[in-house]
Amino acid sequence: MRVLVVEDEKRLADNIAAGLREIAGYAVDVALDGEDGLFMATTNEYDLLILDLMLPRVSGVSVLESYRKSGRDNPVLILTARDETESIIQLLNAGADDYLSKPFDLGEMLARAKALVRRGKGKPQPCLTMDDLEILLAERTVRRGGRRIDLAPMEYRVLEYLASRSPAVVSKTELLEHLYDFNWERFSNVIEVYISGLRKKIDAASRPKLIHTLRGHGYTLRFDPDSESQP
Amino acid sequence: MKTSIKTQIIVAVLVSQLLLALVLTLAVVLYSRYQLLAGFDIMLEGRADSVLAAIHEPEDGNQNLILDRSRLNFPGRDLVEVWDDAGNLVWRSRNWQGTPAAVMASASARFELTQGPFSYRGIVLRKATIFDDDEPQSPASLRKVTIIYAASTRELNRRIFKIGLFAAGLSFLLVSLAGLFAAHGVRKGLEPVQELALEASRVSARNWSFTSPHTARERQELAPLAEALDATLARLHLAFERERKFIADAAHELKTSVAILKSSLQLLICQPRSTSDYRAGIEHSLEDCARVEAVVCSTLTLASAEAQGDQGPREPLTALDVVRNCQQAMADVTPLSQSRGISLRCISHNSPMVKADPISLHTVWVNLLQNAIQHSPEGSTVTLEVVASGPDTVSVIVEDSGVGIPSEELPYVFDRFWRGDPSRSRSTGGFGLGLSICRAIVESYDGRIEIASGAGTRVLVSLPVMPIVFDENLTS
Repeated sequence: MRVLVVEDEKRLADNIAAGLREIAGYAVDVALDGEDGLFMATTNEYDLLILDLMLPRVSGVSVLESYRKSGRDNPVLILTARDETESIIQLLNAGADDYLSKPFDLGEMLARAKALVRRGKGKPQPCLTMDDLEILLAERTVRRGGRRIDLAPMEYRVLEYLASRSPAVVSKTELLEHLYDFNWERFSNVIEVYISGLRKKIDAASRPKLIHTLRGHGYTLRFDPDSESQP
Repeated sequence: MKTSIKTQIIVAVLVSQLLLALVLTLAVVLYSRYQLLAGFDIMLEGRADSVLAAIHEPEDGNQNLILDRSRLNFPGRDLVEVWDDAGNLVWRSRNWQGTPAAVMASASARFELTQGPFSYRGIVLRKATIFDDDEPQSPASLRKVTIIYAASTRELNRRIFKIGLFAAGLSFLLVSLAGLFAAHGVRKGLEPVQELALEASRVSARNWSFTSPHTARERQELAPLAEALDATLARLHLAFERERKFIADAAHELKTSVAILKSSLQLLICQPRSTSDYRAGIEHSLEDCARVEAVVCSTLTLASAEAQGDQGPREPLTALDVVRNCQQAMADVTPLSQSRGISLRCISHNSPMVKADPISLHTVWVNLLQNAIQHSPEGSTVTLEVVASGPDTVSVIVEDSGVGIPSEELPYVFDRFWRGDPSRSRSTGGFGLGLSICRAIVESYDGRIEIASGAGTRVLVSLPVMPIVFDENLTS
């Protein structure tokens, strides 16, 4: 999952980004003003936008409005230092999904961010299951057949994204866009490395196979018992 | 129960009009009575004369005068008595018991009396008799008679009463009409007052919208009040809004600072870390703490400077050497300027004294110098110049050769919590209070602060100079 934080207080933005990276395991980009924020939000694919209201150059509300006008329906969490009812109503009516007043609790902010991401993918359950595979999103742990599987952080990110998009086929490009922030150089072959790592840990010791490769299209995580009968 | 101006005016008008009507009616009655009595008296005299004409001497040579009843012609109700000069009664009308002695003795020719249910007015006429012209009269034969003639005043009084009644009725009608007219006029005239009062009563701390009704503004008497209300409320509204904005901005700034500190600490504690990571995190949190402290301090400094501007200084002010005060401030910002590779220069031609608190004035120079240093390119110079700009003012000019401030932003730079380019001022750690504090302090000493910007920014602070006391010992 990849999140954009638009917040003009650099220290706060860094703290939010660090929390999202360390605790939620998301890829995070930071924009320090509304103009940059809107540009980044409309040129990249984000699974969540965290938007401060009082932004220089372009205000948070107009970033939100322009973002929604561009046809994107990803969840938006608003951070505000003013908690007047009117501005909250205005925000929610302008297309925000949730809001938090400053000073907020970092834990609460992360929980809300995760909930919004889940809902944004159409899977609000905190635990994604497929056959005997369980992904506990809150704790970032994976089990197959009751056995805990230890995944590297990037492997977990890939699995979480595939599970949240399941049963859709996810291209390599999409994976790259949603798993890395701006600061990473993207090489598509690293995806193959993570997929093969995941296959070893999840599919090697169990049947049926859950991770499927569709040559030329991408990957999908899907419970498909018939696939076993084919060579 | 509140008294109404309208009722008061209407009552006053009605009472005065009623008084007027009463006096007028009385005057009419008195005048018409006087006129009617005069006519009545003439009539009485005429009737008495006709009685006189009926008197003649008897042909038998008798001394007694006789009255020729056939020649008498008068209304039977009148009272008549005729006496000759010898004091003999010549004739008396039947309905008359005799003239009271008081009337006979009185020198006045007129009298009034009451007989039975009627009032009478009469005259006493003393005249010589008139006899036929065919016998030439000898003076000796002239006989004097006294005729007393009285007539009932009933008819006269009735006419006076009628005139009075007419006058009173007419007055009452006119007063009623005038009263209605006055009530209407007063109501119409006071309408603008009522509208103005109603509009003013709608004003509250929540609702400041007030425009005086045009009816009030068009009245000569109300226009000053309406205009004063308009202006005062507009100013109050502005001040109220400014305070509200200040509180909202201060709250925003504080909440943001607290949010940063809180998130830093929560991030630090959310998972186990190494000792060096904890150390770095705590150092970070201390920086965030310093920021909270700075916001609180700046806000309080501004509040106290503004309070001082409103209420005057708390302690008596002492004379202060401006140049020395500026030099101390320069010394304080030297580490900052050195770290940024900027040189400071102080130019002063004389050493004027001002009346001010040294600490607050020091704050002004430090703030201005810090701004200048932070917005100057490396290797440039920031200049502070002290000049006597007039006989009683000293100017301190702080000038840098930085990027300057866009002209469209200049009007707002003194606004509280105003920040120019936020990414730049954030990196310098300001929250937009520095210049507001400077202005509040300078204005509390009756000074002025101006800013001009082009290539570089130039801030000019003018302060009133203390009157110079010539010290003989020094000049010699």
